[in-house]
Amino acid sequence: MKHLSIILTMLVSTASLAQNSLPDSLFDPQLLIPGKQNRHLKAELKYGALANGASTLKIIDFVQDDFLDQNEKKNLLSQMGTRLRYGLTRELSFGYRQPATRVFDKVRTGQGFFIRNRFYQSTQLDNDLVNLLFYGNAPYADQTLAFDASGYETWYFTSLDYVFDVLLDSLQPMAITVGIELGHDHNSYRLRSGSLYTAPGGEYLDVKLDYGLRDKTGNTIALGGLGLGLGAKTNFGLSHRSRLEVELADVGIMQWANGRKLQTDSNFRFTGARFENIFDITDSISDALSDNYTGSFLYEEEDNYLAILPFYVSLGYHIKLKGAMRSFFARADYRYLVGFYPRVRVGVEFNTGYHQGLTTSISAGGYNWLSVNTAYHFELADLWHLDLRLQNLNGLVAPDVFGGAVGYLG
Amino acid sequence: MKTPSLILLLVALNAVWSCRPDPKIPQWDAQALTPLAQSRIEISDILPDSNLTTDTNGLMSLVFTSDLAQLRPDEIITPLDVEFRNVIDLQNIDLGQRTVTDFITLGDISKGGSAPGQFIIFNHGNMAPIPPLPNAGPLSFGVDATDIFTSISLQSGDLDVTFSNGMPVPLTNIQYSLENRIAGNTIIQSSIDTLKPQQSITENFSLTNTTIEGVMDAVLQSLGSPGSDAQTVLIDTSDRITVTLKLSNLVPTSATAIFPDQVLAIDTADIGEIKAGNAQLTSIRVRNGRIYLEALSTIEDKLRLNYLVPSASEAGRPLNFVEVIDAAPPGGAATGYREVDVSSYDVDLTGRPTDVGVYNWFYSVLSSRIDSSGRLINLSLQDSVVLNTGILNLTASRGFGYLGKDTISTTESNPIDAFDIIDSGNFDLADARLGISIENYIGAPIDVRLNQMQSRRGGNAKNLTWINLANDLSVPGATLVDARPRAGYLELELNNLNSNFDELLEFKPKSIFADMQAVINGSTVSPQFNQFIFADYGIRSSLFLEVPLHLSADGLRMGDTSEFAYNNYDPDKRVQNGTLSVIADNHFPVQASIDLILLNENGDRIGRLQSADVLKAALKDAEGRSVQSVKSSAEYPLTGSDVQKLQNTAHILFQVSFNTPLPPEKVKIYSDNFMDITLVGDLSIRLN
Repeated sequence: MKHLSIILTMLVSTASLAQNSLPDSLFDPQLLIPGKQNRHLKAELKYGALANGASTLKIIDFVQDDFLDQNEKKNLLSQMGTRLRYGLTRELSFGYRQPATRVFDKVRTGQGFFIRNRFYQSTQLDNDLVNLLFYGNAPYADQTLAFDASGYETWYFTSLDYVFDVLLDSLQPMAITVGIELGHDHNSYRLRSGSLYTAPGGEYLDVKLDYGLRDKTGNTIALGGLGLGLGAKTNFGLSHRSRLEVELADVGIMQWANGRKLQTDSNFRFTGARFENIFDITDSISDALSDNYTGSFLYEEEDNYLAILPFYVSLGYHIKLKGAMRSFFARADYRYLVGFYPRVRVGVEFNTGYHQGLTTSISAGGYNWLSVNTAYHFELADLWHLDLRLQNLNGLVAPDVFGGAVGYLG
Repeated sequence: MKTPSLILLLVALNAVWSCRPDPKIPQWDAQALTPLAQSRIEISDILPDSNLTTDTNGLMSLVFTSDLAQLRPDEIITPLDVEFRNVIDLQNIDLGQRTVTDFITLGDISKGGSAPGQFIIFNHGNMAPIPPLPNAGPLSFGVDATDIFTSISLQSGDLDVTFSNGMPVPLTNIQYSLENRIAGNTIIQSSIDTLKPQQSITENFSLTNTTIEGVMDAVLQSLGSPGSDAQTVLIDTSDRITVTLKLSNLVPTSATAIFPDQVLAIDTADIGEIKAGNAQLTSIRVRNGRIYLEALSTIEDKLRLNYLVPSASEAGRPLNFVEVIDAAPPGGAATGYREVDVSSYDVDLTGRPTDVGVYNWFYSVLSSRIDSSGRLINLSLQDSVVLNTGILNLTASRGFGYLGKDTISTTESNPIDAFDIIDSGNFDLADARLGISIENYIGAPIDVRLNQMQSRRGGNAKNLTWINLANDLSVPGATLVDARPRAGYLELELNNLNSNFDELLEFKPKSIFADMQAVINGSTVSPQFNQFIFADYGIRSSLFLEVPLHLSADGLRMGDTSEFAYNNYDPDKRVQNGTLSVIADNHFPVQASIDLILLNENGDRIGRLQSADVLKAALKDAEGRSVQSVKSSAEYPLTGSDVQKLQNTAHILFQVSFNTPLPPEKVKIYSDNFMDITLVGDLSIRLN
């Protein structure tokens, strides 16, 4: 029952007047069937989590559980393979758009504005690192744990976007997005490589770490960072039936205030905090901790820092078909988040009736090695468009094989 | 979309945006095996660094010094408080000499209208014989002395009347008197038969019980001249007879007069004897003390008081101060008070400059004088100046001279902290040395006697037995070097042969009790005046203990408490349970076991972490010196309950128990002995 409630939560509906979706974040874009080029207000909600190994049910279990026992850890790790990649997103957007309109041999450019509030949590963990996190280093005494590239990052920010069209030629518009990015919170921990050897009896730890840390300190606040993001999107007609779609989004940087950053490549033996006088531990503790940890684990520098926005690139090909299948499309895309791999997707748009359509696709990459996706679009009273999307449908159908799911309502 | 719907949508979106969508993450436990702390324990971490020494071979010794007893002189002199009273009466006031001069010219005498008079006036300026002059008179002229006094009632006094003849003819039958103009009474009356030209005659009169006014009339009752006896002389009507009145030796009963500058009194007084037992002091340095001068005057003129203590000086300057008393108002009195701090003054106690063989005495000189204002002021017999001088609480910080014979005694108990760290257990020392040193900072030889010495712990005591107990031990006197005493010194050694002091140490005393006395000049035959005593320096006796760390230990438990704050180590309280291990690489030839007593903020015991394991002793050679370290470990199970107790712990009492491998076989602790310890945690950590 709790699983169902989670799914239902993701399928909370809202209303919109929409035709083109905004650039997607973690998930498949352009699943919607194109509609009419009308001025419209648009509201979207996306929410969900994806993982490469753990199933949706496992993820839900993980999220819902208060405490993981040994069996639960074992089951979770058994599905993970050699690397855990996991992403969670929540995106809310609202805006107004007057699209470019083609009237005979002329194109009338349009414009619009959007407010988008986004939260990304993305991670990639080496299997040994997950084992270390779940079981600790005690089971690996007198062994060396080697960690491949791993990372964890969160982004929480709001974009104030202004969208306008420019004409590449007399008939070719391009939508340009200029956004002011208001940062709320950000963390980025990236381990390029590392290893840990625990001596028998725990007398010392040999640690090798090549990692970088950047972290906005303090609580989530309304304006913890300020940035600029740019985007562009256009279609190139290849023939009267086919077109190429190119999109860039969130290309820019964010300046985070009151941050901490550390970049280190260290190789050291940790033998414990050094106490000058073990019988006077209070006086010694600060010195001891400072001597042993500072420069190795803790942040050394507190300063503002710049971070590249989690930009998005996409290249798609569409060709119109006849009959029940309206079109076929193929797309490759990527979002700059740790654990998110370049993704390719192919799919078909079906005519399912007057004022409605269905899209199905298969994708590989992102956080999943394979996912089946579907989308449904219909119009109400000629003015209301409702989109429902579900990504990684197979994660719901075969939860022990495919991990996670994402819902979209727009 | 209608407006209300849009607003509702915006509100809903804003509500969602307002919070960060952090996903809930479950918790799990991971087993962390990690070194937590490491340290090297050396002997200086167990025993105070300042109490350790090393011999040339590196053998450590515990040394410390402790006060045994201090004897200080109670006081060098008895605090001195003394007051002197001086009263200066009107009789002591000098009115000075008062002189009034007036004259009668030849013209004045000739004005009577007689023929000779007419002739003289007619021939003024001519050379001519002056005819005989008949008796003239009475002639009167005023004597005005109001610029000096208006009235004086005299108990006694002298009046000198001088007639000087400035005329070219002799004067005969001079009869004169002096009368108070207002009262009209005659003060004096006399006559002179002949007064030759250019001759002066003075007559003296006593003014006993006489009142004289500032304005008097001098009256010539009769005055004649035989003329120039037909000799021609220059006739000058301005030629005169000068009359001079001189008042002197005036002893008034009352006066309204202008008083001249004068010294009223000079009083030299012995301040008194400094009481210093049977000492004969030649000087002292004042520690505290004040000299004061208090004056009350009814004299309507300013008084200047000068107080001098010639034998008291500071940096070579004698003590001398002046106090000025303002003029008293008519019918009233003026007062003055001056107090001078004489701390740190040096005071010579050998009396006045003419004295010989005087000790413990000094003197002062008080003088008082009138500073004349030039005003007429009233005086009566009731007028006086009352002067009080004195010394308040004069004590000495140093005394010089013969100190006499004196006995100083003390019973003292001085804490000794060398054994505070030992909670329980026993030790047996192979060797030890105890020295008693006596430092005499008094500039006189003393005889010191240690009557009793005890090692005390709780209510128990251990008495010292020693061959010199209760014997007089002579300590030479101190010498002065750069004005400071350099102690005379006596050192005595106690060992196992002449005392039982090792038993006093093994008693692990908390304090040392001593009953001691010193006799100053106990063996001095005749007074020596080069002696000195400083109040801040007396006789100090102290213990010096040296204990080579060559010993056996049987359950010798030491404790040390350290503050502890669990949050410093595990702020998120992630530790659930586990095991703490102490891994030791021991270079000490003693084995150790460590218990951790957990105490809350009130110092109450709330838990204990203990191990059944001991940290093994290093291997030693036949001399008891460690030759090879031994590695061992002790494990401390840490239950969830123990963790909770640790979270409530404010102090940790480390209890370390030492045992030598085969007591009473002794081992030696050298400076290169240490124990490396690593604290390892095998802990269940709760993560999310």
